[in-house]
Amino acid sequence: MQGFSRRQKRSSSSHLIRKLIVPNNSLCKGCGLCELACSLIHEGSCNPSLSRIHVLKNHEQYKFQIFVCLQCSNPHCAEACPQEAIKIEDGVVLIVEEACTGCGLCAEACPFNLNYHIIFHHPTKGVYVKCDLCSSREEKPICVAICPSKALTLKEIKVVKE
Amino acid sequence: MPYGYAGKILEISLENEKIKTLDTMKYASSFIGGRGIAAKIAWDELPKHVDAFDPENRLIIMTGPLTGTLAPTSGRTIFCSVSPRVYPRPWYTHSTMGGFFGSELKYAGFDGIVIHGCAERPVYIWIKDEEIDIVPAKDIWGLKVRSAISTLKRKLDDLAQIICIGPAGEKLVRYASICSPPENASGHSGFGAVMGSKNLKAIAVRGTGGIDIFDPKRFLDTCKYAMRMCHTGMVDQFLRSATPNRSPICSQSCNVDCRVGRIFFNIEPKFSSEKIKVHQTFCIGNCWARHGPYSGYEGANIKVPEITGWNPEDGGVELHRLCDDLGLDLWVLLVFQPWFVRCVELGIKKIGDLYLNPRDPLWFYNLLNKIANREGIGDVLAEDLRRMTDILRRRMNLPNELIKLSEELEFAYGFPAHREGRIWDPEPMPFWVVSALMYATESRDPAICAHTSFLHLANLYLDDPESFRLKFKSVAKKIWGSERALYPSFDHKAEVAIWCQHRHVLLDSLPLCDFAFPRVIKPFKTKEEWLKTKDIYGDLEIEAKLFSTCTGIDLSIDELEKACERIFNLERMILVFKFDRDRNVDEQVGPHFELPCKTDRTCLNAQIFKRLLDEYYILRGWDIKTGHPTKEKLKSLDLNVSDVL
Repeated sequence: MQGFSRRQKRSSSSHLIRKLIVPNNSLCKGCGLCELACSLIHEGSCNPSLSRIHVLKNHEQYKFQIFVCLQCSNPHCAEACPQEAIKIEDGVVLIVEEACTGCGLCAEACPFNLNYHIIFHHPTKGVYVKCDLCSSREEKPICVAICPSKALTLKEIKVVKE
Repeated sequence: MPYGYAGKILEISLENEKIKTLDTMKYASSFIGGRGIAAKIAWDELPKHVDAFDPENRLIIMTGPLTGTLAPTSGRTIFCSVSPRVYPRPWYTHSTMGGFFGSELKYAGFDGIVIHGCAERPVYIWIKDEEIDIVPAKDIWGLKVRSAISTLKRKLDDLAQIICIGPAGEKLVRYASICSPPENASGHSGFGAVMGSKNLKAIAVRGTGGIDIFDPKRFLDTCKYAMRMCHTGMVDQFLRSATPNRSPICSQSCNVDCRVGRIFFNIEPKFSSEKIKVHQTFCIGNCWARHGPYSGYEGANIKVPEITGWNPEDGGVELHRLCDDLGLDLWVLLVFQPWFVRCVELGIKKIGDLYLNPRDPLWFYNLLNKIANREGIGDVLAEDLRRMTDILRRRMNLPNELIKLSEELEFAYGFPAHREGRIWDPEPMPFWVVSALMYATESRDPAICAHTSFLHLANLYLDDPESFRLKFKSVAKKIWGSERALYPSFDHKAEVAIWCQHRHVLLDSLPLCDFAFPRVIKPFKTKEEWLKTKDIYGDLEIEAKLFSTCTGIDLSIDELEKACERIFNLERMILVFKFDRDRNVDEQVGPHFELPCKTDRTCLNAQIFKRLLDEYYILRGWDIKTGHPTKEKLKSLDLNVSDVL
């Protein structure tokens, strides 16, 4: 598993597809189902700390803030990775666990990664993990499917090639 | 780590600060979790005749195998202890709450906490994953709930989940609650006072672990199916109007549109100085922040005046918030207001140093503060309505009607005001008959923590009796063994009561919310959908599917119901053996049901009630003279407790 391209291979069309989850904080009710479903899919356990989507919940003020990877088309995380372990595949930014050495530069480079809510260290695997839009599932991401408040939407954006 | 469970239950002695752990799996397959495991621990550990405030009383805080998982509405915590509210002598009972505390406790690695002893000075417990500290609570003792919690969060961890008591719990008000803001509380059984008696102000937890699931794929599919089945809330939800889009939820993993939660922004205060930016009310909280009225009723020389809250901006929200902050059970309004209103109607204008003006929000505002701090007459009111009446009888000439009224408004072991057909819910025959049997045989008022199952079907019946009968004919046979279960008669009601009780034990043990389960009928969104559907039967095996895919313990719904029967009988044995419960005590609720039902004017008489109880005891395998479980019954349930009989 070597030599991952930082950019997606250029296709014959002049556009790239970027897929991302768009959160709407004002619809969120803070039930945490997205976090539990995410960790169940990825870890086989219900564990909000290992969920690739995080919701900062302030039930007292009724404010909720959802953190999830935006699947940037020119991701800082991939730029920062010395192992070139982060690739873009089918519009999704993926960390290849086998190639990750756990240095954490990706997590530092991401400008949205407040308190490591988006890219974070997996304590038992020793690698960094982030949302992969449930790439192993045929259906759309589980968090989007499970959210009862419709606070999460999966969007596809056409990005013009550089 | 076992699947579904964290695997350990903490045992904390506040006396000598010793901490032990129990192995959860020792209890799991026989007692499920939550209320079930708590009953086993209580049976093993509670001394006979122990008082609520005795250091030897245990406060058992439990979760179940589904707490903290994806199972819809599972974010619940169960509290069990000897309740100071039970009259005249406290006994063992339970009380549950939603929120996020139970889940966090499991993420920290514990299925529950058993607390005994009494700390020498006020303390709080701080559980950070496997690290447990008992910390002096000098700086937060005396603080109201919200301030205490924000102080603790600042000091410990902003992400900590906290349960806490207010001044009412510290001062041993008999209906003090254990609170977990914004709006969760174990309120009904006065366990806040039990915490206060142990000098325990709060428990804070932060957990970073997870709960392993036996079969993640099947569990996910089952959860998704359960969510589809329960998202429409209570069985009669489609009869009610929709709420604004963003009605809040009260519990982790809740996907249910229960239409109970309301949210208020920027309320100007009337009695205090602090502007209320955001406030949520649920269920009973709505009784405060809404200008009722809940109509009163009359019969057998008693008049219960109507109960009214106040508009949110007229003090309703502020009063509700104050109750939460002082750590008082919100039902205090429904108990005291009608009693004081009747006092005024009967010409009593003043009790002790208190002028009565019970429809006035400011009057209530001052009264709540007095109760929570046991100031002046508040010291007497803090003893709950029944005990207060006893004290006042000795001090003044109290009309007999007021004495009877207090028995009516507050049973020996709970508030009757739910789904019993008299005080406010319309509950015609045959529904209130089932209610009567449940009230007679439980350790607390059953209907408040058991909304769905059978009792709520009354609303569907009242909406359209004819189509109700038609649709439920086969359902009644399938679930309760006979169509007669739904006939407006006294026959075949014990079966239904027992079924309800077992389903509620199951909900409190897994745990799941009683607004969402059991799914007796399919989820209907509109009345049209309901009217045109012939086969309305829902799915009563969802709970078993969730349990087995989560834990890997393969129990069918019949086996789970058997476990619930075991738990219910063990709870009965705790009451019988340790707190002298018998048939005479069960019969005490009879007079309430001898008042006419306000929907159809039907009622019980003493003879019919005796017959109903006979049927119930026989079906339960209990002795009909004493109401005690028989040795044979206990043996058949593999309960090794019959040697005490």
